[in-house]
Amino acid sequence: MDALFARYFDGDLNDREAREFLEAIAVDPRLEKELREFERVLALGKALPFPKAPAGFTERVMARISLEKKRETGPERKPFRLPVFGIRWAGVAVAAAAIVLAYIGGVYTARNRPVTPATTVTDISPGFANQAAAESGQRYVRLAYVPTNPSVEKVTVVGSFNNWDPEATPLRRQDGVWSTILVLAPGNYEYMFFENGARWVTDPLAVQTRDDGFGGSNAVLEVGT
Amino acid sequence: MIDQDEQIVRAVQAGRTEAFAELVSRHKDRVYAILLRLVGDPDTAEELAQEAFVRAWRGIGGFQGQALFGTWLVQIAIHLARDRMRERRRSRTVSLDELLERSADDSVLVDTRFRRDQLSEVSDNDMMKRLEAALGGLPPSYREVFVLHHIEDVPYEEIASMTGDSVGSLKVRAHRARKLLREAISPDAEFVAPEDVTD
Repeated sequence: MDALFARYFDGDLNDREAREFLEAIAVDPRLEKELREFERVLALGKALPFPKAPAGFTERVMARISLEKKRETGPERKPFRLPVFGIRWAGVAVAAAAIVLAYIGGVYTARNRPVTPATTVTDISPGFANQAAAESGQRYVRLAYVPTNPSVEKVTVVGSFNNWDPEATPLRRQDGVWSTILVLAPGNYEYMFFENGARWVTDPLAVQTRDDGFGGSNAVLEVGT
Repeated sequence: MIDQDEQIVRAVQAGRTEAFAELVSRHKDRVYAILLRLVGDPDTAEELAQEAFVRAWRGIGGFQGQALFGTWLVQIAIHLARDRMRERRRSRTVSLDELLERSADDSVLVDTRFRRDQLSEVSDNDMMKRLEAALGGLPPSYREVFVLHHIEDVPYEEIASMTGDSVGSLKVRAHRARKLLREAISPDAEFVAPEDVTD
């Protein structure tokens, strides 16, 4: 009888078998009760509440895909373009700002080295920066960002210099400004700020941007020799 | 929905990555619901659902439409859930799942009496909660086929094409799942003998 129950619920009984099965059920209260219990299991299964994906799910998936695509395609790297000198600073009134500081080193001995992932330095004195840059042939670039939303708890910079790793380069908050110092070889880089591990933000003061293929733009950073 | 899926897939394949968001929106609830029932906790379900979509995006260039996009997506999700359940079995020393499955595998007696309610009259709402709890306690392979076939209405043949299992094997597991669930919600059902739960 157990096999008949199995085949009955899978619709595998032929007409004759189905008639015999139902006749047996009709005359045996125990079997009839068993059938009802199976039917109740299936009915309850159908009636179980349908859980929905959590809010923001699509955005989180697309953020991951965006990151993968950035890693996969990577920006074009042009090793020697216009140098970055001086300071870009929009003042405290702007909602968001990026600052790029380039310290000129002395004699560069490794100008044509391949671009390597950035070293992040968050506590560094300009004097040390100058000396280190001179010795390595690399530049110190300070990135700063002021989120429009003051409740932001985490900001990272994600770009070609850190292989689009969203965790590799956190910014540090001080007096409402999130910043970090990168050590970069001369070249062309693309980057975005990443808020709270969920929201991509193009540097609002980027001089140059490039379409990221997702309806947004990467900021383009040029580090000169 | 199916025709629109095909159009969106073609758009993504043509380079419009942002169109993939539409596919995520259309299928996220079903994929999440299946995974939640298979793995049992919301955080893992979301993690695996995200991973399923990311993997679908990675592979969409080679997706030729032999199956529906939704079927392909659920297939990815099922394999992720299976992998996770295997990891859990390897890493956990004791879990209800493991005990049940080990019992099934080893033909050891499975005692479902602890789930029985001595009350003869139980509301549908309470019964539903009991069924949901019992579903979470099924061996993963039984739970998988019950969720897909009896809750999600996926035909056995389609499940077989997604998992690589035979239809016959799926039907055996489905019947065992139904019996264990009946035991769980029935106050006076017969005890489940060991030969009945061996997979």
